[in-house]
Amino acid sequence: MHLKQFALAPRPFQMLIILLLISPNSSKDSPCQSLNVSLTQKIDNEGFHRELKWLLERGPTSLQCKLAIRLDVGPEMYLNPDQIADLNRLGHLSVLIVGDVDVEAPAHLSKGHITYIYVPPFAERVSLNVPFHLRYQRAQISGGYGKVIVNKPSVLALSPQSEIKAPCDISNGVLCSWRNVSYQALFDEVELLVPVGDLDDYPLVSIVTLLLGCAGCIYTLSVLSTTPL
Amino acid sequence: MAWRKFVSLDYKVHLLVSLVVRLALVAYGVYHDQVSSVPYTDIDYKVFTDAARHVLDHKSPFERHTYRYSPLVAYLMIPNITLHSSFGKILFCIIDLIDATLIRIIVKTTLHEYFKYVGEPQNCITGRSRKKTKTKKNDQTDTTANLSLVVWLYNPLTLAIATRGNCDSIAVFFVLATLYLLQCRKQYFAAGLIHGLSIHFRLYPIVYSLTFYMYLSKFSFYSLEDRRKSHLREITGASDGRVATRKPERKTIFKRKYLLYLVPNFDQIRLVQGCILSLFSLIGIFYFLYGYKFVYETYLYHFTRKDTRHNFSLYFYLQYLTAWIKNIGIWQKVLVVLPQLVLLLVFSFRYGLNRFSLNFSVLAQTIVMVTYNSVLTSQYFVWIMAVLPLCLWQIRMSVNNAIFLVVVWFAAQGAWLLPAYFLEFHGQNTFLFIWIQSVSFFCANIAILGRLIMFFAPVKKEV
Repeated sequence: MHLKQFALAPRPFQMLIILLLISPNSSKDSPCQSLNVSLTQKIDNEGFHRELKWLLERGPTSLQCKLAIRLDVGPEMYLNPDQIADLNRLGHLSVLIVGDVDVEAPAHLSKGHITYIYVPPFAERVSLNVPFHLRYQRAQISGGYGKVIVNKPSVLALSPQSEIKAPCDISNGVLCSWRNVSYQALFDEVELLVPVGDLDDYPLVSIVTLLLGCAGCIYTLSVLSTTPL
Repeated sequence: MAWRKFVSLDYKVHLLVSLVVRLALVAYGVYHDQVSSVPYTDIDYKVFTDAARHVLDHKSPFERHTYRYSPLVAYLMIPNITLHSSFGKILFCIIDLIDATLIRIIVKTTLHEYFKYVGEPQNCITGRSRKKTKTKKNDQTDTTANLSLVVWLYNPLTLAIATRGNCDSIAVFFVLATLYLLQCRKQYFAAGLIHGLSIHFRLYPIVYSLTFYMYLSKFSFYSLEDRRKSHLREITGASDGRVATRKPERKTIFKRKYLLYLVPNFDQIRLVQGCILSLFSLIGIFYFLYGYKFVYETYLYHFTRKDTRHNFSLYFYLQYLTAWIKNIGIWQKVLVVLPQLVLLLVFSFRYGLNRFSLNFSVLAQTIVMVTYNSVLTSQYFVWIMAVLPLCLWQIRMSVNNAIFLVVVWFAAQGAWLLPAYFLEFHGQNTFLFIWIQSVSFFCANIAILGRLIMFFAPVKKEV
């Protein structure tokens, strides 16, 4: 998981080196070279329905530059495509989910998906609220809570002749060239907890449930046999 | 008093008022969805609409993920795209009203039949007093029928289901239409056709099949042959037969003799023919059009369904715990399925074989099916709500008792909601508590079913 993430995720050090190498004169052609971006992340709500709250800030230069946030959603959570479509339609967000999302599957049977959150034009700072949901996890011995790791988002900037190819907008029609922007992360990596069924309850639950099912049947039959029709 | 006055209003007034209420709710839903990110509209409605869009593009409606309905729903929803996005909801509301009129007609007919059966034995009525009792009875019939109509029309659950865009009012319509054709029109082939359609549409009416079949049996207490004879002879003959078959039945629940009842007569053959014809031709057509995906999504999915997210069902926690464990014995599956199967079979025979208890049989079976279902959400309660008004007049329960049961039922649901809320929205591990509440909800349901059976009297005692 972590290896994969490393392979997919931006390589800030390389980017930094590239940035240093490219130096001032190329920043004249593209407005998106020296962005002074910082991102604050907070996760709201408890339980299965959460919300990612991002505050994206940037320096006063390069206002024309188009930004997007890419989030690799792990298998323990998902963005609900229907809800996202609603938010897109209402104009609250513009989010693209790449790949199929099975909203019913439990964590260990599902794959993650990639989402692009396109940042609307903004002056200094913008806040983005993205609702997401946690999946049920397999029951385990002694129950408790399962862990969900929220991957660190990466910030992309639209710039021609860059190596990352990603959809231009939520229509997912054309691929554009994007560049990874190294940003100042004003948050720690988060780990969420999700309640998990307790396999220690199994003997009790199975005996009571199954017996009760039968008892209900027997009770009903006894009522039936004592009432005249 | 005001309540009585309200109930005895003309049924057309009720239809109109409830239509206005429904349309207002639909309009509110449109407004709510525009301003709020928590939608009023049911998620399924969106699924229907998307599926209809696929159909318009000459594609399979099953290309929309989680579309698990008959393709007919998608066809019906096409005007959602071509006309207006609320078309489907308004259609559901209108079908709600048709359901209400069907309920009214069924109640009226069964009451008439009942009065014909019990009213005549005091035979020394003169022409004048017969007329008087007739008008009185007509009045009584009207009020009873209106009460049933009101119970369906102003039920908050029905209102919510239709205006949020859930297709269950159509499923319920087919069930009611089958009952109507069976009891009021006596058109058994047509009843079979509609029954097949209703099974195709929503699968669950399949459990009523045996009841319908038994209803047409000539072993049914109040049978067709008797009715064709002259009134007086019919009544004495029928009531004699009734007493004779009733006595031994009290002692056992199942007897080998009952197997004889399965031998079909012509009416039953007509019913079965109609059912098989419509069901298989619909399945055939849609299989031809959409292939295996149709069969899987519409039917097989419901058998293999493993929805482990918390719900009202007694079996939810057990299913969640054992969901991905391989070495679970077959006995667990058997113990889950067997109790409801036994109850459904017993109800089919016992109530199916009485001419006056067909509606109650359908009600009892619906309750059993919903209570024992492995996935249970409040949407399923509408199936009960639709058939409950049909036999309201046969359940001779005091008002206080009825209110008590309703309160118990809602309290059990409310008690379930509390731990479920803490799990869902506060992330606390309350699985065991939800299970305990599921158990108590199950007990409440079974207790209510028991009460209903106890107070159910198809024929009044003093007759």
